[in-house]
Amino acid sequence: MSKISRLHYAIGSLVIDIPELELSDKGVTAITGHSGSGKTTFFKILLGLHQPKAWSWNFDGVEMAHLHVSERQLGVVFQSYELFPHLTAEENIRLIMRSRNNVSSDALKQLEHFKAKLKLQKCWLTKGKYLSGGEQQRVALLRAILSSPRMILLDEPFSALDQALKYEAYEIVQEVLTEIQVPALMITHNLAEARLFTKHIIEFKNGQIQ
Amino acid sequence: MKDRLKPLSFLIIGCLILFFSAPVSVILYNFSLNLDLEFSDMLIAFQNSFVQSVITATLCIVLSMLLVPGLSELKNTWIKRIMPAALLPSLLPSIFTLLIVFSLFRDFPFGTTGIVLIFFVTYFGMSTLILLNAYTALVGKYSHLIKIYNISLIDRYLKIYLPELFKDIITVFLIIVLGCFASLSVPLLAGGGRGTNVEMYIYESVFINGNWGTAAAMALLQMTIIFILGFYLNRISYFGSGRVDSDTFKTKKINLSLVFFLFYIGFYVVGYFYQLIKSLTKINLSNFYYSEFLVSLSNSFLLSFLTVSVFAIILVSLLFIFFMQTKSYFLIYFLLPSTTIIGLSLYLVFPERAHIIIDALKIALGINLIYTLVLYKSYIQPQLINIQSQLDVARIYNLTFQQSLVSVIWPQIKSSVIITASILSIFCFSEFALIKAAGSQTLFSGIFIERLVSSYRLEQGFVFSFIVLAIVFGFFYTVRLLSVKDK
Repeated sequence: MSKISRLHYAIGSLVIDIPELELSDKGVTAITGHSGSGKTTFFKILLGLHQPKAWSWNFDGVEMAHLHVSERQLGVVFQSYELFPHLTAEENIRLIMRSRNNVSSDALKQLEHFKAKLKLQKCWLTKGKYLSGGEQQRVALLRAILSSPRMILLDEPFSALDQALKYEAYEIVQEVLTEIQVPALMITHNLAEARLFTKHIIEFKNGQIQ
Repeated sequence: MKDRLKPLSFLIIGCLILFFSAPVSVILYNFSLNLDLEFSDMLIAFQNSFVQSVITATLCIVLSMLLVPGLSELKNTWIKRIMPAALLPSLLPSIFTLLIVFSLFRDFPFGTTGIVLIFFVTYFGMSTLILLNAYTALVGKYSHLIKIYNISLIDRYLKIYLPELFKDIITVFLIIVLGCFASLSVPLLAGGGRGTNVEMYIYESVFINGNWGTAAAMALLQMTIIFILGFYLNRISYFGSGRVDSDTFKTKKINLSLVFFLFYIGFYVVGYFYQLIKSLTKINLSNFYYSEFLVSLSNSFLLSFLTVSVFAIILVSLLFIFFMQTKSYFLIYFLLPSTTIIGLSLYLVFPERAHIIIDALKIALGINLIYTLVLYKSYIQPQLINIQSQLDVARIYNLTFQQSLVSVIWPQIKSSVIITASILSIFCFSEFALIKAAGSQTLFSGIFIERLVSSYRLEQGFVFSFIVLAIVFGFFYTVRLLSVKDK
């Protein structure tokens, strides 16, 4: 379990107020809520992009709240994927693998394995700006997996996909997340989508847990 | 690791502030202010500065607002390609505008009239494009409501457009006023009589009267005015909500506004080339000052190299600060410095007679002090803001600054950087006011061309200015071609 305590953060008119929250260290935890409920702000706090004062996030004995964004060893899939558009799919992933020092032979085997599983062979040498939405999503996910993360955070990972692609994407992402055995936190406003992935669902409302 | 680098980013900001505030510090350190001023002369100088800048800004805005409604109704796609040419007068060094306008007159109206004319030509295009962008966004936003409720023309303008455009109008007004206040090159060539405006008054206090204390006092007053106006400009700086996609209000292919605006663009671009061709047919090639020009050109190449080198150091520093997300908003208060103050501070710091490299370095620092921040804010910072999320990803995944610079930032901003470096180089080859204010003894091509213009040898001025433009554009176009890998 990872435990968040005393999280209090105000941004604009929204106040995130979480006295205590436990996140599962296995499988997927989903955070749901309407627009403006504070899900994305909470997401950015966990990543380290916002810095509240005097809160605690204990993850397997590591006090994450005190760590800088680059030291938290997290993987991320943003809603808009945020691939580097001028780099190919392969370059996007290898850049992160190098920066996270994940270049062992095991890591390279993992790369080939998930590249095939996520069906990225055809677009492997395509620049990020030319990839389709589904391809960008899978590249962003593979990038997160191969960053050797202690946890993967996904912010509305399916919202940019059209309906036909979504069902295929659900299946692939579920398979991959189950296989890698790294805990994941998924933000979604779609409760049905959250239920597809997990029973651990946390609802946000006005910056607070319901 | 990033936390350990944070103090370095603060140190860099400190160094940048020291660098950009150095001209002021140097002048204040070297001279006790002489407050025993000639108030009548001083008043005339400030009055002239004020009158010239306000008249220019008012003329630009009034005429722009008359053209903008018509321009917003045009639906030709080729017009969108031509419009940016209207920015050339404000982007290129003032020597080009001076050449074009001087060539129109047998007896140029030196003094306030001439200065206002030059400033108007410089800023009218920029003013029209900024207000057109804001106006088009507004009209797009309200066009359906206006049609549905049949709102009258007068109500449209008085109740909707003008109140909503008020901030844009004030912003443009302040940009033009500040640009006019801080310019030395235009009053230097187009001014008339002693103490024409504040910049000239300061310049003449030093180089004609040898009255440094008075110059320092005037410089301080000028700086305060520029700082206050600049502070207010940065607070309200606002350029509308961006273009709206709706084209339902664009119905015309041509109208009177377009004709006038094309006339303005044509006057500058076609006027320049027309005068150039005319000059080529008139000049005597045997009396062409080849050796002086070649010397000035080679000195300017050195200047350009040093300027771009200093720019590269400042740019990497700014990129580091941006990457580290350290607050640097106060740097924007150095956006519109006075040419005279910078020139004079360099004159004080560097020896008057120095090796060419030292002299070129002096001017390179001056060009960066004047232009780097405004070019960064105009061309490079918007690109960085666009890739802000990618930099978040880079930070999350522990990319170092060097890795991010090479792999993420540079590939996506290199076009903007090349454009900025090109503009700086054009200034290196055309700048004369700063060089004179800095007391440089080296012959740079800007000084060479300025001497031709001020002695009314305009034909040679046109030809040499064109050679300079061709060299700079040719070089940077080649660099750009070589640097573009993906098509």
